[in-house]
Amino acid sequence: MMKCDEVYLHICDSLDEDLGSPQCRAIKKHIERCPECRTYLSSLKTTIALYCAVPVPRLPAQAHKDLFTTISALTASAAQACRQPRKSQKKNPTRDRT
Amino acid sequence: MRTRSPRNLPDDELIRVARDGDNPAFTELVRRYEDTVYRFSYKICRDPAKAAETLQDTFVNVFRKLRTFDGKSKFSTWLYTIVTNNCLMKRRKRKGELLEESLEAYDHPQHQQTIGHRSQPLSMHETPADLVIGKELREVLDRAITRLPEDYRVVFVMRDIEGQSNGETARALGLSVEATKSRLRRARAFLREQLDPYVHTPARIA
Repeated sequence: MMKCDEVYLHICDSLDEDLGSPQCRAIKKHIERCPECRTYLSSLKTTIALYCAVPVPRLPAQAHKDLFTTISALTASAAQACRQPRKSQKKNPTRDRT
Repeated sequence: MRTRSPRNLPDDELIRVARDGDNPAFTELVRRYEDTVYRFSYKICRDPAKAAETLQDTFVNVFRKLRTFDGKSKFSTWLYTIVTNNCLMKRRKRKGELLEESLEAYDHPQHQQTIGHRSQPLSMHETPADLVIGKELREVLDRAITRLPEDYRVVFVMRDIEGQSNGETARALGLSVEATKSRLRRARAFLREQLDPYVHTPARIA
């Protein structure tokens, strides 16, 4: 039978992806019989649920506007660079020799 | 043949077209993901101005590096990596933020000893799904997560709030799965302890 110390160290695994593993099954078995560990697991779940329930602000309009100003400048300069390689080759004919 | 508008392209095709240097496709990609990136940044930085700055930096980096995205991981995982790097580069030690080493104490069960022996916890009658976060509780939640070192906060946000797997989180952060699990365990234990009066519910007898 697993002890509380071990359960404490691995209890998170029983919230995660390895639910079917022998270790998780042993944790589950322990938790069914141990009210303290059951309380601990329940409080961990509530902690996570609380953080999931905290509302997060949506993107502010000004941040959206600033972002698209930056993106427009980036895409415009990339488009310009695509149109200009011949000019720069004339100015610097040695550039592509390496 | 008529070209499809970027707006009508599914994500994977939009990414492919944007990667090939199509600027309207890139702009559409930004439009689709800007809210996700801002909200994720906010959850890590906990500051609207920093989140907006990270949003800008992230898409500038995406524009420059999109050609290197090989499609082997999910696009969102790749984005999370860039956001996280930008957030972590901006970090400065906040007042009250814990040292990383102090989180190691949460590997030991003495933190569990308080459980079940509290005098009278504040009761929570709601089930987690019905939770309405009041102002006071919100401040407590915010204070607690702000004290977590960002390296730990990122893992908690990616795993428990964004729902990424251990593998995806590890890949995005350049950690091993074991290191990811260890940070997650400590972060959860720390936050649970900080919220103890709010999350302590009597054990239910099955």
